[in-house]
Amino acid sequence: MRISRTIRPVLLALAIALAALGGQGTAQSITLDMPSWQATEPGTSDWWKALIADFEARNPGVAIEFTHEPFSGYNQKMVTRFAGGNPPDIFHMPAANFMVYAQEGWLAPLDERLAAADAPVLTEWSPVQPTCSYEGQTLCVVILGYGYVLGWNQAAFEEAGLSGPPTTSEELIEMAQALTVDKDGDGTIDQYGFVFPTVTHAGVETTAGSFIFEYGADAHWVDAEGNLQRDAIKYAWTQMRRMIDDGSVPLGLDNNGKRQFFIEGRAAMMLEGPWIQGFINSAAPEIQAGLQVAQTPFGGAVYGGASNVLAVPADIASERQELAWEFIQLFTTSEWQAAYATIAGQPPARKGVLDAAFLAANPNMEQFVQAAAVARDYLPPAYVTEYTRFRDLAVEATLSAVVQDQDYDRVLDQLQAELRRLR
Amino acid sequence: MLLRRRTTTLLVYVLVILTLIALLFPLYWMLVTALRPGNQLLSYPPRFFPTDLTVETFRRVLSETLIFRWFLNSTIITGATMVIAVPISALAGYAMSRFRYAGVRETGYFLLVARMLPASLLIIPLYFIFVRLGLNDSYVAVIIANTTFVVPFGAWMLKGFFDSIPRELEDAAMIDGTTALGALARVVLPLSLPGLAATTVYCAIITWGEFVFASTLISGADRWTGPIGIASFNQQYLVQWSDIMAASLVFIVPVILFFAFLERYLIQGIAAGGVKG
Amino acid sequence: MIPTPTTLTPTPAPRRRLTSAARSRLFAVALLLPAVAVVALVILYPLLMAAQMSFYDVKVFRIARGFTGNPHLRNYVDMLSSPGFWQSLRVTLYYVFWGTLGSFAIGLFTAVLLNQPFRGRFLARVLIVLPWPIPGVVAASIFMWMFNASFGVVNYLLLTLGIVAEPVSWFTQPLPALMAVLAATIWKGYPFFTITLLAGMQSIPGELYEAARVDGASASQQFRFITIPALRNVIGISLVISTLWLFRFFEVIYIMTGGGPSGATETLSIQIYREAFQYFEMSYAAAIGMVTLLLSVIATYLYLRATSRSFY
Repeated sequence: MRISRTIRPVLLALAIALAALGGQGTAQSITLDMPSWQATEPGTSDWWKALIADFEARNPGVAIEFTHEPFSGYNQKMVTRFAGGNPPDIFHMPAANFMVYAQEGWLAPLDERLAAADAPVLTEWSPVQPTCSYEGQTLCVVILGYGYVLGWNQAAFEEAGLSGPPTTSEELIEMAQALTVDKDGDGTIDQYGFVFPTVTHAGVETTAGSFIFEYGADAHWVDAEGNLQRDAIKYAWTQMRRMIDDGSVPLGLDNNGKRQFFIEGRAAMMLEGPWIQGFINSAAPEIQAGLQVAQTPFGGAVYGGASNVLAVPADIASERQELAWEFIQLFTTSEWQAAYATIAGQPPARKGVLDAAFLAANPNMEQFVQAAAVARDYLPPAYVTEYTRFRDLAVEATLSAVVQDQDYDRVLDQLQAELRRLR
Repeated sequence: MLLRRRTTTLLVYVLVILTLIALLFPLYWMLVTALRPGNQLLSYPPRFFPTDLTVETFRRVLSETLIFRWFLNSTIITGATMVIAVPISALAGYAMSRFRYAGVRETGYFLLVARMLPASLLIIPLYFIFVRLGLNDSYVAVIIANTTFVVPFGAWMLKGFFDSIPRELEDAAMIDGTTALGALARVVLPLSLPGLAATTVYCAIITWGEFVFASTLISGADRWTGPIGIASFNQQYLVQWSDIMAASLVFIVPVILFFAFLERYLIQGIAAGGVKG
Repeated sequence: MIPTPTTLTPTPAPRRRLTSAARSRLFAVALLLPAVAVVALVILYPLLMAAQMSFYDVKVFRIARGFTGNPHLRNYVDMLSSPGFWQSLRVTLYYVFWGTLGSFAIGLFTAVLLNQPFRGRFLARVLIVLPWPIPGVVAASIFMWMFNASFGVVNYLLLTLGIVAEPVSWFTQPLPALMAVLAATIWKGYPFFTITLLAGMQSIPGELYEAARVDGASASQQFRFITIPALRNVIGISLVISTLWLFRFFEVIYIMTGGGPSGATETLSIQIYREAFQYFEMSYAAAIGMVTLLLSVIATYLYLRATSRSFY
């Protein structure tokens, strides 16, 4: 049968179209958009990809497009997307940025779903899960809730004739001084005992916060009415000041410099979250052997908070919301929570999913889990909605008092006045 | 200004070398950082000529990341922007230079005003526009945005260069029968090659290094431009210093090669009473 | 009398004036149209939105919602009564002035130097431009390390050369912090001047210099009386461009000092970014943005007036 030349291409197109339609079958296919900065992060990215693969296997026809967004600028881009009316389907965010999404009503409340699913989030989850509450609603689920630990260089301790990590802050200060040495006698200090950020950086506030928590079980920057807890703050500043005066702390470093010092053996101790494992892994082998993790020496008070969280955007199609929720549910199962430790190397948010044998074989993980279990949230009882501004003011005040040597009461008076101006 | 004596030439050489050392030292430091292992960066006293170098970082950056993809993307965007923005700037700059009507001046100022607000105030409405136009996650959006950044300054730069070309040359051409546009093309442009080269270089550098709009309007690691790729070496807590330094040094190579290519146009003297070579 | 050819054949006027003024105007409009179209279509809407936003109480800008409530001047009042704003204003003026001056000085010096004939000039020109395409965040990082009080190479050199007796703590004191951020900024900013001024120098006829030399003018006199005047327009516009860039540039300061210590390096551009994307008070950020715009307009006007005889 001869087909006219003009008909041939039409038939061809029809054939292709039919083949395409037929190939799809009757299953609908949806691709969920999930950006994240952890898409290539060693450890966590493997865990995410395994979790996503499992989710896709359980939900045929549903795919998750897991795209990497650089961490710097991540929040700006996400806010722009939400504000521009194009939010992702599964929302992974650093917990520090939670408030703006909550205030703008961009996140779907999860309480009903959590209750209906009898999810362990309500009962056996990280103690910092309340971070995800806003005006009585739960708007996200904590992925990594952390407590700070003490990284210490055992080799440096042995060289200085000291045994074991400090268990009180007084020991910390004394040992830091003993560990500050000029090894080759050339007048410059090769190893500092302790290191914390001393330039405008959030890490300044976390250091001060650790000492504030030590002061008392309810001690924090402010009380629930927004008044500064002056004694606790002065205590913290005094302790930090002593270490600087002793010369035990190098000046002028930010958080990145602090970590670099520790993994190069230039600083014997530092406070850090459970992500310290990644840094330790990246240290040179001869130094890595000596790097250990212990509980912070603040009398059982552990500074902590939420690192990153998962949420469901409110302005996406309800079908996608359901699927996003399914994903979060899969994430909360004890299987995948345990995998967070075995694959990602971080303490899981769900309590009791790791067995004793595993913890014994991974002593650092045991420290992380222990710290995370008793961590107190860094969010103060007041100024939660203006936390970013609060934190910047607290950082400047701490630097004024501790590095620039200004009178504590004057700095506190000014800080209180500035806090009052924050609505 | 030409100084021709022997001693002054020696002086020039000395000054050039000293200046290059002083100004390029940070780049040398970047290179040293990139060639040392990431966990041994902080030796003190600083070692200016370290012996324990490794090319591992460069190898990893060049073979295990998508850096060549990022180059390609950056090249596409930068090339398209140049092709669009430089001619537009030339036309506008010529108008601003040769025509004294009232509206021309205001238009010139308006172009500058467009560059007086920081990106953080413009990004959300701009994103909204592009999403509405269906240009979300598209190079076209980035090219348009970059063109908008380059044209105001490009037009004014070229105005400055056109101003230094005497009008009599075009008048003479037009008396001979050339149209105004022809005069622009055949008389003015060849004489303003240095200015065009400078503006093109400016456009290339601005677009090559642009981060905010590219990162907002593009998604997916295989579609990133170079600056986004380099930024991606920063994790939430871990910063890969050596990788960033290595990638940055590699990243500037294409645009520097492009500059080297344009350099001979940059220093081309005018034909009439032309000065040196 | 027979009319002479000269009275019979009129001299043709230059074609431009032969064309009606309207056609000439149209031509000017046509030349300007693409630039205006691109800029207006893309930037005008966001610009107007930002301006409008400064009169409302927007935390995060959302087009769908529009502006609710009545316009007011509270953002401006808050801004003008906040000591942080005035400090930022001072810091900004300081930063923009010294940043522009430093970049211009080095740019002019290197342009003159690289305009001299010498072997290897091509290579020198390529090398001198290398800092320009380095991303701002990378430049900030390397300078932050170089200026680090404990392990930085700057302190090492200063100590070894005996210029200071003990290490300078660059980032914990106001003036050294400013110097450090200016160093990074000028390093990134000078190549623009080098290239622009070098290009501008190409259109200065060599005969002018020859004639001056024959007349006995020294090198510095040639520089003052030939080079600089000929470059006036180019200098003017490049100063404008650099100043406008510095008013908006914030990556270097943000990474090196975060605006500290105690706001000593906090410029208006840092404040705008902070208010917009850290504290999410975009209306307030927009108000500061309007101030930045006003400053930019004033600076532009002053520069163009000062450097152009026949400008607008």
